Amino acid sequence: MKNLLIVLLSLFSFCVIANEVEGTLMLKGSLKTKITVNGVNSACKLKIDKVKNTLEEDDFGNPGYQVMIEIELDGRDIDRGIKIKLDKKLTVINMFTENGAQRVKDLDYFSAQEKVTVQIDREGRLVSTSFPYAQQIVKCNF
Amino acid sequence: MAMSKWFILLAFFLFTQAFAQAGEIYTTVFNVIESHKTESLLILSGSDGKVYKTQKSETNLKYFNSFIGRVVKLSFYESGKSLIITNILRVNSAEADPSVMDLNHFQYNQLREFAPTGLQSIEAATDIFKTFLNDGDRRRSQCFKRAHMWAFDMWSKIGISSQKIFIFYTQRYIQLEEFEWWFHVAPMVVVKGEEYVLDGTFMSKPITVTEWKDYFIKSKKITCPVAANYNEYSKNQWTKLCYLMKVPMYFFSPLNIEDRDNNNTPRNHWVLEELQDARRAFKGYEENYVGLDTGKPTITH
Repeated sequence: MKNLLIVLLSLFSFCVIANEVEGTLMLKGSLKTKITVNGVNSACKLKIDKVKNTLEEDDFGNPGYQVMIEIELDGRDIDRGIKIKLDKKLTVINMFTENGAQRVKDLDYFSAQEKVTVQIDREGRLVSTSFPYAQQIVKCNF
Repeated sequence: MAMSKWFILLAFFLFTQAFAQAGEIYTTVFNVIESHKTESLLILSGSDGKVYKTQKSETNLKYFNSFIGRVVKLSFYESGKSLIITNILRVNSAEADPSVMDLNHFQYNQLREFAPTGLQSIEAATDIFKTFLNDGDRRRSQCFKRAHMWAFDMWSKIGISSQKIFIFYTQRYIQLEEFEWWFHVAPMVVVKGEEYVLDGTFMSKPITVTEWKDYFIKSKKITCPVAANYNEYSKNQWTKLCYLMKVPMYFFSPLNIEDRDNNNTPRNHWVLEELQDARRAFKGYEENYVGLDTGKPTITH
């Protein structure tokens, strides 16, 4: 009985902690990395333009962020005549819908329409992004 | 003929006196000042914040000054808006024990327990709202000064103990929205158990706390939690956009709340210097709040 109570309390504490966010602010600026797309060496650049509050909360009372970003992909293989080019401005948010519930995440952002994801670290620095390009998902790690 | 005129005058005087509301109050003389408007001495009463009047004279000034800080029994009658003193007596502790009776709301009293007055209808709240001094000049002063004088007026003029409601914006909100205030405050009253905000600057009538919050956070989808203490706000600057705090009417600015919660400085009393400062919120403050005058320069925040 005592053990059951401990387990239940632990589970409850875990749930409470799991729903808490720190409100990590994504840092503005831009980062660039090199990747290979379709065998072509390319530059992947992600620029964080503006960070705003969504003025909405998730089901646990956590307010969300919306971030205006710009993704650039640039590469060329002259021999094969392949050009890699993408320049897209869009907005990502950190309010996810999971099992019918709205939930804000500290380190993950996405755009459902554009199928773009962005990850940051606890200091708000960009870690990675993924986005569709020519029928594939390109991932850039910074 | 002349005799009958005097008789009529005397009869009229006695008639008006009979209908004038008379009363007695145990209080503390908080301040005595000379009116610049009429030939009156103004006696600021500590237990109700009201200004009682008597005839201005050198003798009276000396006499009433001798009661400052003392517990007294004031006898008075109402004449229009004025409360005219008919008698003042120093009382002994057995008659009005200051440690038991709440005689001075300008001084902290350990026994004073604050409870907001419950109003019976929204119409009553609206009537009070309409009495608020409001010169429409928002730039003249800050919200906390206006809120303080409205709260003081409610208490001293009509005996309503109100609360103040603060909305505190977090660094996250201020930084990302480039918002120009970090808090806003207004008086709040209770009507049949429901709280209504009387924001005389931004609203035209009493509104619910939710309506007030929605207006000032510009969203119905953000809940501003009611913070139990100042630290809950100050230490959570990124997890929320705003917090609400409800405090008794005596609290002037956020510093008072911070002092209460961090330095254990309790507050259940008015502070004259703060009222003197706050009264400057309105044009013509010298006349409207002459009873708060001390002749000394006031603090400016």
